[in-house]
Amino acid sequence: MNPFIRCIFSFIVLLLPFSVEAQQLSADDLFLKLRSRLEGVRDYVADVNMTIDVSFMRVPALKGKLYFKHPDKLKLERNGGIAILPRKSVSLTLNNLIPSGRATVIDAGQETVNGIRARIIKVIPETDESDIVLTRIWVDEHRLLALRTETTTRESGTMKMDLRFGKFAHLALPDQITFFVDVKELKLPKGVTMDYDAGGTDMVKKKAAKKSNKGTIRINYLSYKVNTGLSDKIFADPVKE
Amino acid sequence: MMQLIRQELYKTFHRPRTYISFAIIAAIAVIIEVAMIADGRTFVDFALSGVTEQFDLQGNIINGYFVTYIILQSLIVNIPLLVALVAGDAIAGEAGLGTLRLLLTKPVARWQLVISKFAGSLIYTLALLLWLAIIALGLSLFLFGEGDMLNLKSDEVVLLLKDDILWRYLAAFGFAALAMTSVAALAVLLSVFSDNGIGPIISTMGIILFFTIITNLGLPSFELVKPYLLTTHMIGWKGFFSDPVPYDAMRDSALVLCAYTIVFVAAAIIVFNRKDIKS
Amino acid sequence: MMLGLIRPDSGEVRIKGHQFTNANRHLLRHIGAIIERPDLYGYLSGWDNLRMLANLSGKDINSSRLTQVLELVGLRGREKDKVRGYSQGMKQRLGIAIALVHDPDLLILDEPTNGLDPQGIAEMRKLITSLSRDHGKTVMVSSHLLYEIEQVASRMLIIHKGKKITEGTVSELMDPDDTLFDLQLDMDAGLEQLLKESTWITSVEAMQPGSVSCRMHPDRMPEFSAWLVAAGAGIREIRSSHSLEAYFISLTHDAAHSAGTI
Repeated sequence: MNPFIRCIFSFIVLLLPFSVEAQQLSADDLFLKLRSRLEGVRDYVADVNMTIDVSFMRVPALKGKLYFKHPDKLKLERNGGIAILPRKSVSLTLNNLIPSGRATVIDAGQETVNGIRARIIKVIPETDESDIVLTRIWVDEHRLLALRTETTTRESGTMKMDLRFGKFAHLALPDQITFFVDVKELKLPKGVTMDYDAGGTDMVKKKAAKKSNKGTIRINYLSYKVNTGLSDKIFADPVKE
Repeated sequence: MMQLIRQELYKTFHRPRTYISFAIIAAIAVIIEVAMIADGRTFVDFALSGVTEQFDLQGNIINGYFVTYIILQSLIVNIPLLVALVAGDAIAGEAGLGTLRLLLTKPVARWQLVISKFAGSLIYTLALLLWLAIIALGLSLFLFGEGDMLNLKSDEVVLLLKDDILWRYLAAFGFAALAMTSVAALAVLLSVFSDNGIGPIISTMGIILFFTIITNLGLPSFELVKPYLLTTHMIGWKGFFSDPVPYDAMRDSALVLCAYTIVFVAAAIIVFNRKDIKS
Repeated sequence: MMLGLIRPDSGEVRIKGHQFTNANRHLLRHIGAIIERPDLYGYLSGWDNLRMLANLSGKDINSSRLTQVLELVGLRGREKDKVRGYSQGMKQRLGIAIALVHDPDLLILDEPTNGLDPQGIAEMRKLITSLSRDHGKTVMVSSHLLYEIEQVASRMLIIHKGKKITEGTVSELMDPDDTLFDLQLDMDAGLEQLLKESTWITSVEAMQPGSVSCRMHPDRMPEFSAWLVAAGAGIREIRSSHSLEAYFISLTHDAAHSAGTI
């Protein structure tokens, strides 16, 4: 063969794998890259502003400090004030939604999430140990960030959350997370609570609101301090004992 | 008139019976506070189980504001009774003693007598509520500190932020004072009809209890009468612990309470004016 | 009704010439009253009771007046004690003090001797008389103790079954010719006979060994007793009674008759 042609040929041959890579990671690889990026965050302290929009709760915006430690410690500190977090928040940390260990990852198409094109991957853990049965992750490939997750668990139903990234995208940390929760109606007998019946329009509004049994909890992150080495003691919660 | 009112107060506060009310309030408040210190968690877990099923609650839940609310809730039925204890005895008790007759041989107008009795009962009621504020709110804050307050209603949970609570309590006590005024008025009215102190006290209590049940039972057939009942509006102070505060409804309730008070006192004066005093 | 405790079905009450109505209650400051029993605040002291009611009387009363009145009724020294510890007599006296304290022109006393011991009754009688005589007050006493009334009253009003039967001075109301005299004397059979044959016999109501009852005008008694002595009787005792009681009974009996209620 012509040495020149051989050169070009080998060049093309060498070039091919690179372009394939640049074009498309395997679902598996995408998942692994995403996960390792997230695992770069061992802990953080964030100033947050939380709003809760659930039919049976009237809660004003809660300001506080959100503490996180890998893999699953989460606490909202409000100067002794009361903090309300979704029950399954412990397992709602991003990390747990993205299973550790071996998993089968499948491509599940593409979808636009909040105006950004995302690639959906389905992750099924291979072990039976974790609570997670299946997670769907909408990944912004370009920035390597998870924009949305939907996790089906054995014990606790399905959890869904959206993430928005801005200032802290380089840390793979969102500046807003929205949890979508299913809620059950709260009902206590009036004879026990002896409520003041404000009557009239109040009742009509309430009846309308009750129809929805979906609520959202939105956390806005205002600042982060990452990987400062938080001790476990911070998460010891007298209330939980 | 001032003389009469002063004398009423002198009489009221020189009777041991009056101080029983203050003791009862203190006892109930302190018992609840002690219980919360000893085992507040159990209570909170139980009461809030509907919420904690789906949400995690962290932080200082058992704080002074929360405990005070529980104390007030427990006393909803008791305070009217303690008010009736003095107000119901106002005229009937003196009739029983025979001193009513004596008072009426003096150049004092009958309506002045009724008003002075009502005013005396009123001041006693305010003193009682003030005492309640001190021993419930004051002591609880001292024992448990400040914090955000969870208000568990029949169909929702309200969270009130720490700095947003004190004014609500002050307003609530004010509203409660108005509510208890109408109870006192009712008791004074019933007092006019009787010549022994116990009858009006028990009648007032019975009426309040009966209508409290109707107000709270939640049966559809009661909904029609509810807006007209005194007891429906007496609980208006709770509205201050809602978010948003239903000011319109509460303003209406306040007006209803005023109306009841005026009607009761006027009726008392009219009946007393016409009454023959035989004992 | 006079004090405005009960409404009259008809008619009116006038105090000091003014009609007494609910609007005119200030007229009550001219009256002091005890009704049936003194009603007092047992859990307060005598002094407190007196002071409170004095303050309501429509006149300005200072402490020295209170002390004076307590002195008058004989309660000085016990006024700081709680009334529930008072004896019946003390309560009665405190009631009088309360009725008197504002110096009313008219006193209405309903059974003022109720529950008092003999000494108390005597003291009450003296007090009432002195109030009238020395202090110029009008005292209206309601009582069923006719003997007391006789001794004390200048005018009398008899009410039977809610209706007035008669009114007048004691002496007016009872016929002096009908005064009953009881004589205890030593009399032998001969004297008895003499008496029966004399004109005096018309006045004699009953005769027993040792006593004679007769009815006559008191003016005739000196003559009768002189006759008895001259006839040889030894007079041990001559007692007279207006017998208000008998009068009252006969009156009410008649009234009942004429009203046809018997």
